[in-house]
Amino acid sequence: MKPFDLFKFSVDNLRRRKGRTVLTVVGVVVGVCAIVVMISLGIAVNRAADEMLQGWGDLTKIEVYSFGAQAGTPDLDDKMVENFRSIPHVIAATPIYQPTDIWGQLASDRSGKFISDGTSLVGMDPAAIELMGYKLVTGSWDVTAYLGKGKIPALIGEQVPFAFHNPKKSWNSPDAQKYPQYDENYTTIMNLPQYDENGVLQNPEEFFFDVMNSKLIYRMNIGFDDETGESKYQEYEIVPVGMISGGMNDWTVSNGIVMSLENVKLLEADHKRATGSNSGGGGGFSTGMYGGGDQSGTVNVGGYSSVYVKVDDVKNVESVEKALKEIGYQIYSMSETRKQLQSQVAQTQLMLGGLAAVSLFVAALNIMNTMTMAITERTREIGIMKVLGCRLRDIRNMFLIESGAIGLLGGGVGCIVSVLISLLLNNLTTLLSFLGVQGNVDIAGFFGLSGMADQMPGMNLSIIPAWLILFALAFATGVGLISGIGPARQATRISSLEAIRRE
Amino acid sequence: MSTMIKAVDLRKVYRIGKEKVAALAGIDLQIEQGEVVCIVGQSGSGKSTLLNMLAGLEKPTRGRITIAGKPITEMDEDSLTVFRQENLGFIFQSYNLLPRLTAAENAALPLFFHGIDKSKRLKAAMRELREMGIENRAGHKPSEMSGGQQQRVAIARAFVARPKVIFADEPTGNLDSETTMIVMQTMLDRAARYGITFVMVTHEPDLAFLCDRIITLRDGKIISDERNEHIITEEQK
Repeated sequence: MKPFDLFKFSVDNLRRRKGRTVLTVVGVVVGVCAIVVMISLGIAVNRAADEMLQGWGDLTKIEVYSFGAQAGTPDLDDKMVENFRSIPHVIAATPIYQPTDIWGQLASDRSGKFISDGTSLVGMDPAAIELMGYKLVTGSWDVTAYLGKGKIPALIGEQVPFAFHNPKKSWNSPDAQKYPQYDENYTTIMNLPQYDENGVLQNPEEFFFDVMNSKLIYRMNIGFDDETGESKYQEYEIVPVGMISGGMNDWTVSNGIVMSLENVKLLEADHKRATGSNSGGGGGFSTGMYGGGDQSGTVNVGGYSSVYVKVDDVKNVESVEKALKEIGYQIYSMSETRKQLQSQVAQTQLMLGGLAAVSLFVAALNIMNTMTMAITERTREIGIMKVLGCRLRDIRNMFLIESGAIGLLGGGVGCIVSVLISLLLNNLTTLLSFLGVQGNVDIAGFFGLSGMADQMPGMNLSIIPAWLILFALAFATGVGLISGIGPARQATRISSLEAIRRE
Repeated sequence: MSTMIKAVDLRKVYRIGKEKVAALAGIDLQIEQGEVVCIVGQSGSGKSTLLNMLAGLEKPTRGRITIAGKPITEMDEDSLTVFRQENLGFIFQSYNLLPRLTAAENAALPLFFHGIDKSKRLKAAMRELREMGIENRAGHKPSEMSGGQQQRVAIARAFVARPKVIFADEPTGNLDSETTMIVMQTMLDRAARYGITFVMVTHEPDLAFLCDRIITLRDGKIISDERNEHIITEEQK
């Protein structure tokens, strides 16, 4: 038989038994809806969890430390950072270089009207800063610009403005310092500096002065005056080229003065020259301290104390982590936390998916029943067809097409209904408020992540990506076909002679 | 003339409870190409069993059948189906049309199963229906036709693929005597015209006399196998 003829013959059969076909399809629709909606809830919760984690920290950033390494691990130096860049999926790697033996003040101007003590200098690879995923509040990323002798271009951490105090006021005076205001969960600072596109500070009342439009002076401490005993300083002009935000999780950047690695090293050299100190890189760049390790047998290797590695996509973080661990370093990233969250969601999803599968299983039994009845009814017809030379495989395929079509149809309608249910769920809060009911629906709580709905009030409860639709269609068709196998084989076994003898 | 059907030592034993009943007890038979053969016998004589077996619808307990040189008793079900599709036509007492198809579609069924294009197969079916004089019923379903008309559609169906052999089991059993004679005449004329071997089972002696050869069965055995003198004399004229 021609495939088209076969197909049309089967579809005609379904049409002839409209009522029964519709009922069977409804069964599949219910099953498919249950599965699709369950999976869509899981996807939505996972995505919301990801967003929540993004808020906590960059999921694609890995921190590599010089401490806690396996014995025999090479130094975490520039060569090694270069190595990191060649790991597949790594888009940037940079040391976070803070020379701890340099100590100094940051002043709002040469007269020292406002002072920030102990502001830390952070050296990073200029090419990597932007790639690290930091936010630029205003200005540019260019920390390599030449601005004149003794002028150092720098990115100012967005929380730095809160570090200044007025040295003329006593410490306990309420006017001595401007303070950050946190939200109720202590997850966000409400009064961070805001700039418009022209670089004009939008909330000047929150600060003593506009950091970005000032000639900041870094006063590096180079020892004490032998006679007076006062601190001696060497001054450098810091030119803010931009303001950088590392969010709440990258405290070092949000509270630091970020400059090129080269400039930090120059300052360090200046400091050494001025103090005659030979203490070496201190906590920033050290020679190895083997043997000083703890019980776990790890060692501190030389080089930078920490290096940030940025990965192109969350899904590749694991492979990069593996590569870094294989070299021997101790690392930290948010993806561990994410994995735990996801496995929790996956467990719940599996359970709900199991329930949904039961309803699809019932639908499959339903299809089998329908097909078996169809065959019983059509025994005589099948017999005649066999006598007239309809091949066994055509008879079998005829019934498989019928049961597959029931599955596909159920899958299609099921997907449409699922999308509608999804729409309904995503607008549930709005719909409920029409009925006078307030509040969020805590689906995430259902997945063991309670409280997420409060943190993410706008989160979607249900997300149906295209692949899920395709999967549902294929799955429903598959269920239809599998349910049809038994009845189809039964049809081919019908004795043509017995069948045509029936009246 | 070449041999079309050959049966050697055909036996069929049914088990009814613990008892064994021999429906066919050793039948040897040879039918030539183009022959019109009638198998007669009382009910229970084994004539239908013999026909079903020759048509490959039922397996013999023992024995061997070849049609057009092909040993059909050795074929599996699928090859047998294909063989039927390509070589055999069937006419039943109860017409056995598919109720949901029109007359034309029913008549075209063998070509449909053979994978012939829709326009081609319906054209062929229409030609057959025209020959059977029921062209005007082509678009009707079986339930909208009389018994005679239905049987004519069934005959059109048997002839549409120009098979080598047509088997007919009491083809006029449900028809009145007038229709019976017309239907018989058309069937036999057309078999003769296309050189189709025609094997028919009937219990009506009147119809048997329209055939070339009459085989009489009793208790699963051939008790007589004779040429129909009347026809022979006609041919000799």
